Amino acid sequence: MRLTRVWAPVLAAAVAVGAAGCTSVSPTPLPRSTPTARATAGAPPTAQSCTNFLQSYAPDGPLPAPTALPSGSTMAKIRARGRLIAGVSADTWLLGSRNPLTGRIEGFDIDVVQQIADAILGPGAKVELRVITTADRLRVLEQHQVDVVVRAFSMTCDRWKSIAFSAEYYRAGQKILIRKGSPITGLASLAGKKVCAPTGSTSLTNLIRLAPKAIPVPAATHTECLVDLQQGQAEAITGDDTILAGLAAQDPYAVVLKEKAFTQEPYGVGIPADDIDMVRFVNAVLEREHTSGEWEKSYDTWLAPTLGKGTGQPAPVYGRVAP
Amino acid sequence: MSQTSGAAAPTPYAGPPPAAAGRAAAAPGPPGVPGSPGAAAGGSAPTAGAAAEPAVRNTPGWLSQVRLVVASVVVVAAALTTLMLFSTWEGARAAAADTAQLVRVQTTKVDLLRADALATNAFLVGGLEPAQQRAAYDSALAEVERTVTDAAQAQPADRAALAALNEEVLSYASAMELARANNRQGFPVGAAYLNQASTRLRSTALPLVDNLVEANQQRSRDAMSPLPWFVVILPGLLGLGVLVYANQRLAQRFRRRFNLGIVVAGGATVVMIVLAGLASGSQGSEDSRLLRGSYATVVDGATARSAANDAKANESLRLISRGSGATFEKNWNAAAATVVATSSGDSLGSVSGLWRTYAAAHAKIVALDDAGSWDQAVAAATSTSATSSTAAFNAVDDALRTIVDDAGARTTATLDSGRLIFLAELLLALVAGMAAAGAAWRGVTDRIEEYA
Repeated sequence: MRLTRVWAPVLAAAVAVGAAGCTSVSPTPLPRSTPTARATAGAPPTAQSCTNFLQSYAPDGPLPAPTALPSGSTMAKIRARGRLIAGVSADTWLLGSRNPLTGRIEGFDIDVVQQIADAILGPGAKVELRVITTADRLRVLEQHQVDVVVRAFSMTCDRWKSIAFSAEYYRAGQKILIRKGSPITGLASLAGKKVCAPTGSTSLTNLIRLAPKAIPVPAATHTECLVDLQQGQAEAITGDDTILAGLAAQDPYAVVLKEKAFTQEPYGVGIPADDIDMVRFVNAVLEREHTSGEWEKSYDTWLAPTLGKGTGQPAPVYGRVAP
Repeated sequence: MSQTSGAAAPTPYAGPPPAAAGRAAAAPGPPGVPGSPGAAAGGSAPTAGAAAEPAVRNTPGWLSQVRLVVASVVVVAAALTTLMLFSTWEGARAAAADTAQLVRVQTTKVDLLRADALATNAFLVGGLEPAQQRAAYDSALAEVERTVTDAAQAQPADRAALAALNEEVLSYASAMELARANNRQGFPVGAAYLNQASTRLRSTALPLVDNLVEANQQRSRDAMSPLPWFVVILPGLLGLGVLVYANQRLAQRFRRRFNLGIVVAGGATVVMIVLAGLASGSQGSEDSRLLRGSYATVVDGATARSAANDAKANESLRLISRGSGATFEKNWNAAAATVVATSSGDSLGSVSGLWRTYAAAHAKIVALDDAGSWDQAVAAATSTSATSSTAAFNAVDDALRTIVDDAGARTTATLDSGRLIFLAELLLALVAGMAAAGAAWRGVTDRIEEYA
């Protein structure tokens, strides 16, 4: 009797200590999931706040030969370096994309880069293509990391504040791409729908301005928007007709809505604000493209098959006064 | 030694004649019932002092209490000692298992980074993916799947993390297949799939693996920090103290310096203390030797290997991002610093020379890319010739893999080999402790019987 009374707690304690010693491995923690920032663009977007966003600096007469560049000019420095450095896209089909079969970047924008390089360095000039995202475009110019940005770059009043543009070299317009069978019929039916556009693009700010009830889904590039659409994380993509045509060509279930473009997107070559001589030079290159028929040739190669005949190279607007 | 007379000579000290003692034992009935007058009356001992009187009256009761207390203390001391030894023994087993698990999860990290580097490189080259690279990618992912399954079986505490990791690996693999399918048709969306898969691998899957690495490193370190020997012998010392005290009290009462049973119990307790001290002391010094030796090599080698693979993947990502690779170069430098720091010791010394060769090859690629010769940089990065960056990197990776595997096997083997001897010591200590309790019980019982 007495023995069991004394021993029971002792044994119980021993068993408890033993059990505690054997099973004290705490499970490996899982990383806390941080919801990906599905942010909207920062500042409230506005329509163009100026009227001269198409206006660039007029060329200084006819295009000089590569060997006769003004000494001390931006072009002469590029010639001394031996290559033009351009910020481009490597995944915007038709405008600038890497051909997976050859590994080369090609497209309508890349032809413009090559024309500029040839004018500075001679035919077959060496070009260093830096692949940048939509949001990188202003920064690489402001920091002089590249000589030019040719990457479906819309000329806007805001962008003119920190960089310069050449004259308009293509007129695009914003449209909407949907999945086949989607109930979306246009801007008005985007309310409550997840719509993808690249961070830092005019497409995204226009979307927030024109369809404030849509849910913006930002991505790094338009092609990543197509991934989101294919995986069901976005119901529509908005962007320039040039870009959307390239996306639709990669996916038989993606269609561009056949409505009139709801914005005008004038493409210009982005150039650092203080390289005004370079802006004038590039404008002369664009004029030569017009007279030589290079522009038409390039358009027919890349954009005509999906966008049709088009309206041709836009007429340049000059008259901007250097600050 | 010991007693002045044998246990057989039942002469109680207080002088009452055996008859009186007999009466005293018979009268009180249940022990502890006070005032059995028979004993006092019959006793009226000539020599007993007034103070001793009531105690003497209760002697058998007091003795059975002493017997219970002493035996209990010794049993508890033996049980505690055995438990502590068992936890150390269990710790060695866990340490071996945790080290093996640590090697497994580190291998998973390396395989994932390697698969990603291979896939990225294949995209860099353009055109059809080389069959050899495709096979290497497949086998890296297959090894991940195998290792994850093994790891889930080996450590239940890792299962939730491994299940989450498995999910991530599946979605990575399927995104890569979509990337390939699109790539083969010449669609740039293939590169976007590649980019997303690669980014997600780094933002979701690798942090999971890092958690697994950290948890298993912590577990194996904890398991290799056994209770110090001086803690393990504490219960034994306490038991010994109680035995000495009990012997003194008995000696005061019965005028015999030693109780044979208690003395035997003391001897057995000393044996238990010595065994416990030896076993835990040698395990402790072996563990700290391992922590500084082969275990440290496992941890450093595995850290260096995953950092090296991370660097190589960043080399590819730098090139695929074509001119916007500044952050990847920063990552490369951080990973390289880790490799250099962890391979500075003797055990990984052979790696530092190989790493310098690879770092020089990498510097050439960077110089080419920075000078605008991207095509040549890609050619240098994807070349498989004997002097290429890839060959130099493979030499580093192979050397580290061999070092980590060997050190892991050595650690596990050392931990396993000592376990039988330790178990024997543990069992002997338990036997000695139980024998001590039995002897103490017997020793006091003899005194009680003297009253019977």
